[in-house]
Amino acid sequence: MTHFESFFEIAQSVRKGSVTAEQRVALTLDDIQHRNDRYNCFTRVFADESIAAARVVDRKVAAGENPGVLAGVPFGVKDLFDVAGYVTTAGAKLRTNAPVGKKDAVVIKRLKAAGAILIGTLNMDEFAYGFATVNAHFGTTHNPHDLSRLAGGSSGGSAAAVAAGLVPLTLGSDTNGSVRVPAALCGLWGIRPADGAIPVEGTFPFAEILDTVGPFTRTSSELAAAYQILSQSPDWGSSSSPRVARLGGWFANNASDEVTAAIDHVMSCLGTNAIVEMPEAETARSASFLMTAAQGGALHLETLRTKAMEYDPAVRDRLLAGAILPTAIYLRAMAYRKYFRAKIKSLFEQYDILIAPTTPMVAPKIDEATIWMDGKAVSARAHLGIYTQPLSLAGIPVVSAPYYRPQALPIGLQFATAPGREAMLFKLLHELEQAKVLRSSPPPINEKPDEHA
Amino acid sequence: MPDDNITTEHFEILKLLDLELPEACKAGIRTNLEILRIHARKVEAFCIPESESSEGCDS
Repeated sequence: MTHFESFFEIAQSVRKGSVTAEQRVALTLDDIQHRNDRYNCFTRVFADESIAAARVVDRKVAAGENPGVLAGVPFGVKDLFDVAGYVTTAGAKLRTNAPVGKKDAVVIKRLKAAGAILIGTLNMDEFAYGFATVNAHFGTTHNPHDLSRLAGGSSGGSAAAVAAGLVPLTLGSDTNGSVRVPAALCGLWGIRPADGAIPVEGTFPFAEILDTVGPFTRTSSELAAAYQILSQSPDWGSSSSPRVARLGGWFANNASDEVTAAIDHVMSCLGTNAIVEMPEAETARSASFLMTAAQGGALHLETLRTKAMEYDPAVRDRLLAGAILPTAIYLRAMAYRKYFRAKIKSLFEQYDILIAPTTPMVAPKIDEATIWMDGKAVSARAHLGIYTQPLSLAGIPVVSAPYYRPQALPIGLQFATAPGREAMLFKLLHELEQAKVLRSSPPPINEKPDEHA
Repeated sequence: MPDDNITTEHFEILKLLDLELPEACKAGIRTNLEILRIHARKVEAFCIPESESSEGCDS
């Protein structure tokens, strides 16, 4: 076993009986115990429950029953997914005494039904309001590629756990970019699905009109498989060659030279130099920003009345500002959303896949968490999603893919498509991965990969 | 100062919502209100063509 086995390899080993699910889960638990402090990604580990679930898988294997395509595969979830018998903290100290969940989130049920084993919950920005996974209560999650840098957020624990090789599969949520940003900074594959494609039932909401959930993996094949299980989409047939363009304008401004060069290289490999403008992307980002603030503020208003001082101050102040945003402005943003989505739909009459950076640059340093925008230093926590927020408003499926550059800090690129064209998107991504244009690279861990395996 | 007036008005609104907050919160809320105002201006400045929305520029 290595830290970087795919979940296909793990499930195959369990089904063949070359390793039991219990043995595999025990190795994962031991690994987390030894290495989690380095990254601070797991907030809780369900040791007894995961061993018990593994034994159920092993009994199925022994009885000749189908244990599922994810037999014995360990996975973790951002701590905003309901887990039966546990409190959903949403990364907040003030929720540590909230009632325990009565049942698992729908997506957890789907992974468990496929034979996967839930190992634990993962760190996040409080109430998912941030792009950094800097949490006043649970601490900061460190990027496995450079422990002095941010893992991104708000699903930073989910990304770091996969990048570090602790588990091969995790779930996060993406309202404004909270899967895509940490996937990019940690060198992983992650998807924000189309609105409604993967159920959000059983997750702690943030801004419900924009909330989605999605998986993190180390390969495009695993991402496609996880997406199919989570969305319960039918098997995909063959698909035609996509028409591809890069997004210009807003998506070309403020990107570092190395990010721009990565997109140049991808476009060169695809044999096209088509550039398309996404109309008013900057306004779309603003609309997304306002809708998030207003919905988040409204959601938390009652709790803010009585427990405001128990919030992370940075989150509290953003929510309070959102709570008093005039309704007229919120409605204006909603009207803009309707207009923008129609415009995006028309873009996909010309193209199938649109490419853009995920973040403007590589992971910022934790202690210098600012980025440059239009010549000014601004907060990374609030602005790492400048390229993800407009696509959130569009409600379309978007994969953040790792540009292949081993031994260097990861760069992520967004590949967006129209709802219903996911098969075409995954096929192209797989081809680019095979060609080593896109590919996840293991982090330069300062220990032997099999030290604890 | 217009900004001070706006901030004061916003804190009056917070009181209407039964949100009484210590002085220490005010700077953070004010900073975030200013960020929201920048975004609001961008959205408000955008005229959605009447042919594409019942909202129109003047509605």
